Amino acid sequence: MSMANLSNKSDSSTSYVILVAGCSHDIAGVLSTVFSNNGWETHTAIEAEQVGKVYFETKPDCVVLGSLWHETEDWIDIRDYAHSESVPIIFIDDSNSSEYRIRGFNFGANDVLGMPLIPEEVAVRVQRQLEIRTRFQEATLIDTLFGVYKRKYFFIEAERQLGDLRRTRDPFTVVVFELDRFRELNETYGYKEGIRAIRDLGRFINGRIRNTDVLIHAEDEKFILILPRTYTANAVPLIQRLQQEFSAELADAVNGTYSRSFSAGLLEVVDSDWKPGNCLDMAVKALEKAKAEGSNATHVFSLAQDQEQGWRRKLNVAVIDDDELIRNLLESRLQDLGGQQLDLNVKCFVDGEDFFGNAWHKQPGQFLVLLDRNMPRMNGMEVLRKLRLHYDRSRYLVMMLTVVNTEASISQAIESGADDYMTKPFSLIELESRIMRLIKGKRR
Amino acid sequence: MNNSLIIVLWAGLTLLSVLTLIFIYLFIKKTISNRYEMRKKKLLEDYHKSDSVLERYLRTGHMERRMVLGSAVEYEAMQEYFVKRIQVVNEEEHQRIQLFFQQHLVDHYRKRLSSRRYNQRISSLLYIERFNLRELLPDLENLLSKKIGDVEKYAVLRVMAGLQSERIIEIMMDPTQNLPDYVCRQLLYPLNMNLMERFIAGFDQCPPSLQDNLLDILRIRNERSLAFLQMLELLVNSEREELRIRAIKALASFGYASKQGLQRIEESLDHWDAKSWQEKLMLTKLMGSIKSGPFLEKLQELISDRSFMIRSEAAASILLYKDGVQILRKIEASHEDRFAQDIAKEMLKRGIS
Repeated sequence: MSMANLSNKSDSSTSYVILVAGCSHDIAGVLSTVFSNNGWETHTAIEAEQVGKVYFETKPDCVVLGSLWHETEDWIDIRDYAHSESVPIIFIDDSNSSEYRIRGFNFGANDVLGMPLIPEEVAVRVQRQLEIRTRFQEATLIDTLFGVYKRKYFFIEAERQLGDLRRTRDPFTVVVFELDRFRELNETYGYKEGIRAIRDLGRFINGRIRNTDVLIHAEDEKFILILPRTYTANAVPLIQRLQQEFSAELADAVNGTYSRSFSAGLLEVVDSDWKPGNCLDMAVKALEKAKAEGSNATHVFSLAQDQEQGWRRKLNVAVIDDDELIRNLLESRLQDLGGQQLDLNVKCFVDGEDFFGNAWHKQPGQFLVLLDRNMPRMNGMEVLRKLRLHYDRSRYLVMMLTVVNTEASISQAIESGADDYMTKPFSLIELESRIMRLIKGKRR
Repeated sequence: MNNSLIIVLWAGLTLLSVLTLIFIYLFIKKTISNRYEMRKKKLLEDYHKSDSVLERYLRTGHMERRMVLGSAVEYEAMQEYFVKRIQVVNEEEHQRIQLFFQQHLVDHYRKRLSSRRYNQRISSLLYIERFNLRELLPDLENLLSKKIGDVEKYAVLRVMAGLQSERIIEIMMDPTQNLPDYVCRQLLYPLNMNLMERFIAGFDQCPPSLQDNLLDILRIRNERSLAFLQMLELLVNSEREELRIRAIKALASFGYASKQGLQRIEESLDHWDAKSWQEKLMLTKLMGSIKSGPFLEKLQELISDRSFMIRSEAAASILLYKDGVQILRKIEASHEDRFAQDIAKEMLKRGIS
């Protein structure tokens, strides 16, 4: 599974993967034929150690176990992994003895198939187990092997956070992180160490985050962390501290200790119009960049640098001013504001009535209103009061731009809900940086 | 012998009495001045009290009889108090202070303006400006017609400008006045836009130094009016280079040009080779502030200009375009000129934080 399509991976895979383990060659052959006839991908392994390796490489949806297993530690581990992921284990009873069947069920079998193997029966019984597993998978949100949320919970939580962002305008941060050199670790110390490392990392992070933060196991050695109401500027030091502490904790191995590390990609979610999938993709991109820098690295996704089409932040900008020169000036100037980060939809209105009379002001999305004060029909203060009284405050940012510069009138406007106030004549550079600050929120 | 002794004695006695007289004079003068200072200090202390007559006036606007001034020390103390107090007042209080000065102190300052003592004239100028005593404008003009030095003349002009005197326009447009640049700017800066528009209307009749300074001050003050814009668009093609450069700079800061104005500049793009690097630099800046397709093309050409300043400004201007980052990246990666690549790289590094 490549990293980039982490967000597209489906939970209920249409093609199942079956692991045939510990069977003699002829039985394995029969089973493989049955499964591949059903369109299922089949892998075979005989020795316990090999079975474990194949299990973690292929992630089977069902394990079919022949009589070559024993109640040894290696087999018990495989059984535990399978159970923790609700992967069914089907035993093949080639001796047709009740004693073996009882032993099998005691060990943790979900079903036992007796001899002779009838292809149709094998297929239907495995199918049944797979269906139960799928239903169970769909119903649970916790990854029992690692004790944290499963990947699909990300989409639920991210939607919730996006809703929160829409209301409060407080951005949140998505961190995607993964163990460094996981493949190398597996090859050097064995898959069990690999599993242990993932579990350690999950526990390590889980024990050090706020209880409002959400940790999710994405897949394999990859995790997602959602930090609500957190700017990346604050998240980066946190992640870097965790990286430091994690790599300082040494893991035991047969021949001494070794250190592990993880890399992280961060994304500050600032636009409530983004989809959870977009967010995940952007964070994964940042992680790829971090990995390219080496291990134990962090990278923050930045819209300016990692720009891709369709990820621009959209904003409707209304210029309400009776001075035609100012309208033309702002309309032409603001189009290019923010470069590729912003997609500004600028529209001009001659006064308040013109603005409220146009359905444009009701379209979905975020608004920035640049408001003159003295206008013929409906003046700036009336527009401001109406916006604050009848419209969602967080969707309409209002900046007053006017010649009225007495302190009483400025304080009156601020009290009535203006987000910023600038007096004319104004400097364009100052105006543009104030607008950028308003759009970006309270960060700076 | 006796005679000479007597002469010495007399001389000594005369000297002693002169010295005694001087001593007595100085002593009395010091005592008077001490009493004056004491009195002033006492008055200031009284004024500072929260229920003093002046503070009550500032709060209520009600003038009590006790506020009517008699002695010189009262004038001085009050004016000193208000000069400090006016820095920490709200609008209402500000107006009340002004009203008080207009009602009670105009005559006082009028007298001082016609005083023969330089100090008195100069110090009253400060208060006239601070308390906006427009009633004294004729007296100021009168003072100008007298024989006064340049320092005093400029001070009077500054006060007149602060009081928005229309006479200032005539004076400044008079080429024989030969006002230095710094005075010109000091006079222009406080003028309101109505007066400024009068300069704009009569721009052709202004002396060159006034023209240059007018453009600068309007730019610094971020003024934007239609008349100003139209003037700038015409001046971009002025005969005088200095004026062209300042007009282009002002237009860049204005941030907008009409369709015709924009077209005129775009048409001039082909005749750039004859221009000085200073003018080219300003035009490069302008093309980042006011955006158009032909400008962007020209900027991409200018990024390999011989002058570092122009290359650098061109890169900065490109960065202001919507897809400026991408264009600079392309230049950095594949432009045939290494200098262009370098400047694109540097600007990308500096521009994106």
